[in-house]
Amino acid sequence: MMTDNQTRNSTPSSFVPMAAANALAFLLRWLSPDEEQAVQHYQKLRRKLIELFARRGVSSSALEELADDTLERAGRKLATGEVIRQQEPMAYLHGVAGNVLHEYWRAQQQRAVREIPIEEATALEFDSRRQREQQEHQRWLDCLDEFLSSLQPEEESLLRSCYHDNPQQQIANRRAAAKRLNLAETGLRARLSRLRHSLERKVRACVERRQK
Amino acid sequence: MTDQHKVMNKWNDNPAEREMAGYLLGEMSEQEQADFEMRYLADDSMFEQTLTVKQELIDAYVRNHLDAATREKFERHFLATPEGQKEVAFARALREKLTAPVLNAPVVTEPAKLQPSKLSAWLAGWTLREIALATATGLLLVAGGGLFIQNRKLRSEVSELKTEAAVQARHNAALQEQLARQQSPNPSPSPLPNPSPEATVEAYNFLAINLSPDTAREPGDITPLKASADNQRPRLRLALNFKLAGLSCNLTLQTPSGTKFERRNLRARHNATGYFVTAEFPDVTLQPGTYRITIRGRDDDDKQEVTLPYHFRIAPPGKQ
Repeated sequence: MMTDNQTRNSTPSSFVPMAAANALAFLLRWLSPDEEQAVQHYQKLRRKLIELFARRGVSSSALEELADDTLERAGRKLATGEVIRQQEPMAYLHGVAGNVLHEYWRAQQQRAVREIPIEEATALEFDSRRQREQQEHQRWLDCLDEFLSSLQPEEESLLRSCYHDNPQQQIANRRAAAKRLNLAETGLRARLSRLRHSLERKVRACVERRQK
Repeated sequence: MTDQHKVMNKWNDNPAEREMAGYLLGEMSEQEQADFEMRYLADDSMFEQTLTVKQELIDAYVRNHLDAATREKFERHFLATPEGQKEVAFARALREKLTAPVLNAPVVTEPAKLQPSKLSAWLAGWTLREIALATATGLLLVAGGGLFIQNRKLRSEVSELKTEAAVQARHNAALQEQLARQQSPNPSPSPLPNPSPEATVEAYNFLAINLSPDTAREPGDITPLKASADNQRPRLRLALNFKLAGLSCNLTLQTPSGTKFERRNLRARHNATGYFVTAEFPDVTLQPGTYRITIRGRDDDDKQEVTLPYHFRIAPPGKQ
């Protein structure tokens, strides 16, 4: 999931010069002849790649780097004059992502053998884990407080009614909300999903700031 | 809970969403997974829908709305990723916040401002007795309003306590079920313990147990351990006498009653004494008897499958 910063930095113009810029130009042209549309495509692809790497178990701090690496490699390939068959562009991109992922896991394995310090190996095991979890949970709650209060009252009320511990009550509340807002159930789900996603993005950025 | 799950989650009724849930729960083969990812790279609406299903799956997990099999898959696959853990951490916090009662501050509305001249003129028509009566009525209304607000606050607190009690009751039921399974003479094989989300935040009383493989010690060399309380759970640290290929292995713990608990893809760590893995079993309450552990992994040197046995014994109460 992207933070606000990540979203801002995902515009291709924030890329640094050299060969990467050239590769990016090729990639954008390949995505669409229209510059604006190409940038939108690029941002969507980047977000999808981040999600793909997340589901494949990549650590949160490496997600963006891997997504950028994938797009840059694809661009570099295009810059060399390689033709990607138009029927299978996503299969090609997926293949590049697979290579990037493979290299990531190989590097992780080597690091795991080399880098675990002795004292950490014994200390990290048991004792402070629960305490760390509790502190982390508290950080999530504090950040949520900050952002829940910044929601519009109707947004907060929608969240409160549509997420309920009792499944039957949740269904009834969602039906009532859909009727009230004159939305189909799928429309309500999409609206809730966007609202929750936007809240999560802000809260995660806050939690990460507080962790530092 | 299965029925609730079916009612609750739309992806059960919709083949496309069932496929999305299957992807998120790790039900697909590598090829199916790759095909699915290629499709969502190309299709924006499919991607957005997958994110919606993901959120609903996470929320159903933290609210204990998933059936046991789905829950197990979720824990093994989704929750095994760092990003998945963060997403669940957010959902847990959101659940806690959204289920907390809202204590609305009493709304203070400014009384309509009357022009002094109009007020004087208005009051001029009242007798002293009428003014006293109106003042008393006003005071009663204010007191009544205060009582109403206080009452609403108390109702919220009662509702919160009821929610807590329900959570505790669910947790107790899960523990009792676990105990019954352990005491059953013919326990049905339990593939993976499914702690409720509430259970995972409870502070368990763990007994740390360090073990070497049985192959590395003399036969019969087991000192029975004494569990100091009834509700102690095992926290294992198992030394390995080889280097794991890929540094991951599977572990099975068998309790004295024969129930098996599994942990998959455990990461091995390394220190000066060699490689080791750790695992906690919050669902296993230590009972007198012998516990057997098996670790399966691949040896990095000769690429052969290796199985390492371990065991420990818990002494009956009062014995050492």
